[in-house]
Amino acid sequence: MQPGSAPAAGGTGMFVPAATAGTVLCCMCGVSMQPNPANMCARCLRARVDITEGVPRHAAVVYCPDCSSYLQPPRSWLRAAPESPELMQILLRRINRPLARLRVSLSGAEFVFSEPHSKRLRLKLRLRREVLHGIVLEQTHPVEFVVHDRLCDSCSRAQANPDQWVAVVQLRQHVPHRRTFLYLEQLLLKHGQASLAIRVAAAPEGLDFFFGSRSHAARLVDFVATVAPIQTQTAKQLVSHDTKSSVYNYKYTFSVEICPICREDLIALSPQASRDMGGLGPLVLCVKVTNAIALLDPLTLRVHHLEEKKYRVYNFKAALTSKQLVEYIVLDIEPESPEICIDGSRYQLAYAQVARMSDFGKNDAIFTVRTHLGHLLNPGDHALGYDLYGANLNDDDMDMAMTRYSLPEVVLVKKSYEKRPRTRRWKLKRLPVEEDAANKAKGEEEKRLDEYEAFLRDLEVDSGMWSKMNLYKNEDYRSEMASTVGDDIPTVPIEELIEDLTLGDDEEDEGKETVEGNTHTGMVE
Amino acid sequence: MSKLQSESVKDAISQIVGDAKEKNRKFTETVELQIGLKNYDPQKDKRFSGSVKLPHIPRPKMKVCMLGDAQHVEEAEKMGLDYMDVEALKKMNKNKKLVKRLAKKYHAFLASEAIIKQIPRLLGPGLNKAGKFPTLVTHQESLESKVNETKATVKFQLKKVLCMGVAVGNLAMEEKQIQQNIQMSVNFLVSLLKKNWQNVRCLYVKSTMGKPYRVF
Repeated sequence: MQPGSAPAAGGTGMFVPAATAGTVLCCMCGVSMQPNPANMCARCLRARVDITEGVPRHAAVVYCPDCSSYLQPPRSWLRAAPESPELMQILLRRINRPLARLRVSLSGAEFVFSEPHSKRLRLKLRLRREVLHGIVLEQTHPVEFVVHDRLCDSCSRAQANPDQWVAVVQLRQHVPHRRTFLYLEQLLLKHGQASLAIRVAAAPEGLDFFFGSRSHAARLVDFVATVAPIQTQTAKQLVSHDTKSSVYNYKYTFSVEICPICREDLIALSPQASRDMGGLGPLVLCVKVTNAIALLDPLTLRVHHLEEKKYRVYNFKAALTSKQLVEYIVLDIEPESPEICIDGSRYQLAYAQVARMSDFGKNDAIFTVRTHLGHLLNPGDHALGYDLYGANLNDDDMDMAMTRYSLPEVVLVKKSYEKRPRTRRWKLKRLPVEEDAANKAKGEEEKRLDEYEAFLRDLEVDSGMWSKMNLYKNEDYRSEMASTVGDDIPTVPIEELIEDLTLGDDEEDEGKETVEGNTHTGMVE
Repeated sequence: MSKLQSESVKDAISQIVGDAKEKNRKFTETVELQIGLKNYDPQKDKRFSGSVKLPHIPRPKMKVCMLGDAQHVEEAEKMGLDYMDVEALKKMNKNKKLVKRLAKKYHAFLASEAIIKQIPRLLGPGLNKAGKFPTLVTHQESLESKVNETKATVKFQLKKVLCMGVAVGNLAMEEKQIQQNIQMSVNFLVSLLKKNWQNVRCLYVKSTMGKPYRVF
């Protein structure tokens, strides 16, 4: 067999028929066309079937001219610029239901020009629908929206009365500083508890939160009850009522008083209180405040948790607060016991020999005290403590304790780190608080800044505290040169920080609001 | 209000002096007061420490070291007093053995105002553990008078044990002077104690090589 002869013989014998396209005549006008199930050409189909039948040609939309936002039923208002994607979305949502009912799908939409002052918005839609045995027909369809002006809830409230509120929560704590409110502010921001407030105002020894609803105020009170020991009272005042329909309008007031014991306060217990707590004290330090107060006896390392109800039985005050802390230098440390862990905090009992920083270099007064900070302090360190030796005390229980027992001259509270002015890699958000006009005294602003700076310093040292808050990256931070001289100052690690890029837009919006001069600048939306 | 009998103290001192004369030593013996405490729990009760200046210098040959700045170093050099400046302290580099040796070599330390702030950083707790933390000297007072004042000062410091001892005199002094020093020391010590005389179990007076005599 020849190898080249077989394929030639096979090719010669095959017959390939020519392809023929079939056409049919349109049953209406007789034009040749491709076959389809309807047997009608496109023009005849479009003339016979109107897929836009039933699709609305007119619709209405509600617009608030004060804040340039459109109503999204039933209650939310969305801000949208003219001919923007947001506005397109709002308008299409108004006609979504008829389209779905008619089984018409939307393949395109665009704005038709109208003047900026016009009260009509026009859209041109491309609609698609299946008709007559699987044929899909597409057609354009204009829709005209009538714009109705109406003030939104916030704007109408602002127009009617800027101070209009239904419920107020008055947070108060009768202590000479505001550290508690700085801490509560961060908790409220993290958990979003104050976002419903119409207004937040500063008051002497506290904050006032104004709400548009009683339930919002009650929610805030419940939240504060879980993070602080509080005592609440409520009151309501009748504003107006309709005798024919029994409709009453009230103003509600929640008075929330936080107990005046703060962290790092020194308390002298009365003999009865000491006996009831199992011989605790008589000198105790407050180490933690949640809805209970944690009291630590620094000489025996016992911790007792006192609830709000039991606190009201004794109702003691702090003999010395953290503003009265004195700085000491540690000359010697002798540990007495191994390091232990109570409630997540670590303590070690030790004897410390300390001298006051103000005395050091001036006289030779050296105190030997027992302290719970044995695991933190080393010779040469600085510490902060209460100076019972030189303090001028105004507390009856403290006087009684001093005569009955031999109290230590010093109670050390915490380690003191070097204070150097530097930028931090983290920062905190603040609530927009309206300042009281009476608080515009001379040194008040400076005092607030000092307290805030001390609060940030406390936050940096205590990791248990900053784990409860949202810390954000500081974009202005530039790394300083690395310090080699015993840089043991604790700082917040970088992975704990939250990027605040999404919140930057909010800041821009707030800035825009301020530029526009709205009367509700301080409003939290 | 002192429970110490003057007669018993006087008798004890006379016997000590008599015994020393009988068996004469080749050096000047020191007279010391030894204190035993009772009703005192070192674990619970407050520790105390205090210093008192006695009317007569008990140890004239006490070795004092000056840790000073440039001016005090110059004055110490003139007086023939031992001194160390900041560079010498930094060379120790917190070496525990060197600090201990320094603490053993001298009985007391004086320090300038600027230096005393750096001592916890430079030397650590060694001097304080030895009970010889430096006394402050300012530029306004005379270094010589400060040295004499340091020699006249005795220090009471309670640690974990219930007994203490301090030097209150030497046998080169008159008996009346020794008695005054003892009286002053005991009164100061009793004022430091929590329950005053109730905390004192016994007091002994003793010379370096002699027998102890109980006075309380």
